[in-house]
Amino acid sequence: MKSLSRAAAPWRLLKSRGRSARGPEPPRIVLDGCEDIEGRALLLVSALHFGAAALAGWKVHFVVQGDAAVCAALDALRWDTGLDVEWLHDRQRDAVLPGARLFAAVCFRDVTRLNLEDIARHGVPALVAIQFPDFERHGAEALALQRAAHDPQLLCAEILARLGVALP
Amino acid sequence: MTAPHDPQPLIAVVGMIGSVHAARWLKAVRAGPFRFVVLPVVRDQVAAPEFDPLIAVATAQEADALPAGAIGLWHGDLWREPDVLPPPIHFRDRSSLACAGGIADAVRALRPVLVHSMELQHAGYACLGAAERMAMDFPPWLVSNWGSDIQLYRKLPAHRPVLEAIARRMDAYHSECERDIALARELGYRGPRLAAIPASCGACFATLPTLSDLPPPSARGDILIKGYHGWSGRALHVLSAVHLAAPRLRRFRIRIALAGPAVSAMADMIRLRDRLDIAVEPFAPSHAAAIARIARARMTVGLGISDGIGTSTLEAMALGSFPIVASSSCATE
Repeated sequence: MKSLSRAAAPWRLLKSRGRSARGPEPPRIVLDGCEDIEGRALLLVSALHFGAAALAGWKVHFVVQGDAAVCAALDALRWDTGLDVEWLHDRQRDAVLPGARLFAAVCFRDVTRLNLEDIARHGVPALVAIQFPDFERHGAEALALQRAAHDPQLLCAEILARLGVALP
Repeated sequence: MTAPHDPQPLIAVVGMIGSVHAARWLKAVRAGPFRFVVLPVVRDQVAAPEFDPLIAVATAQEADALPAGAIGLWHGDLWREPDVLPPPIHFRDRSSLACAGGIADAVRALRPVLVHSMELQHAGYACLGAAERMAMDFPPWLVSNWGSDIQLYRKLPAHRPVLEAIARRMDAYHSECERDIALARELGYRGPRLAAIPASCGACFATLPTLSDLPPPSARGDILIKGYHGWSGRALHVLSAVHLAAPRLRRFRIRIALAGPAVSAMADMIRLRDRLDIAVEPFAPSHAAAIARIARARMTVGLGISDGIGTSTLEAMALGSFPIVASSSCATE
């Protein structure tokens, strides 16, 4: 099994390797990577497929809970587009929020788990698109983003607009 | 010339006995000049009924004694030492998957003329380990590529080195489409070019209802959605499209097959908010029941991050249901 162990080794290296210091930090965005009844991370991944060219030079952090489907989708996104995207465990969210230009999430019905007060405390603007928002609980922005919460291309346009970035 | 009392040459098939695709492939070839023994790659999987008759064998002699057309099921220990290789995306590890040592033991005992692994991440990876252990003693190896095996997994850093090792080691490569033949070459495969054939051998017209017995597509009112959402499926994206198109879909009955909790919850919300006739179907008790659903549908919608030709796409085409799939599949071929 010697050669098989060697074959598996690059995977481990990639997972454990940290970023080395390579000059100024690129501008960063942080995205919610939850994909379950309440989270729609895979819709965000689809949005990034449309916006990858505009986000060249940006660093994209996905905060995930170890969801293998999301991690695989991010590997594929990186392969397909060359986007500098990496996933971090949600315990590391507080570490990557400071200095981020935007936090984005797509949720189904409920946003409680996002702890948006905590994101505001870091001074990071948030774009939260909600599928089927509750008209009594959610504000005007959630209502305005209802369509983007289902349409990856529109969601991409909303994200880029918040960042002041245009598609090339 | 083979003497009449000699057993037919044996092919060892490493694959999932719970898979209807594997069962259909063997059904198509079991009447030919070979005997087949299946090495079940997933522990404790219940065999698909299409495998019947399936007879347990634990020695080469028992395999020799298989009656014509019967499929042998290997009863050795295939799972004793999990391989140090990345598992399929939806598996935590490889502890429930056949290991290289177990496959090598079975191959040494059965001495097949060919090892045929059906799909890559479960069976192909284990066979690669067995081939490396046995070196020149490993028989010729035919690798079948199903669906996303190369198209998606080559993009995953954990898996690409393993795929390259398989591509260099395999003796023959069967894929569902021309797209994957080119990808296998890119990974290092230098063996013969075989014709692209669907993983399940396509649709079995002998068991499908005939089109003349079905309503024409224009008279059908169902939209059938494949409800898989996870490592490959993207059913929630389909439901978002349904929501956005809701005003145009009111005259249709939308049914979702194979849905999990997130897909069910979103279907409930679409029914409530958009007032569509949309519901999750119970698990089809048989393949015939699943086929009947497709036959009622005006269109069959399936979306994934990656796919091969898609058996349900072929079945939809065979039953007059418009297949709606993404360019991430190779349905265009």
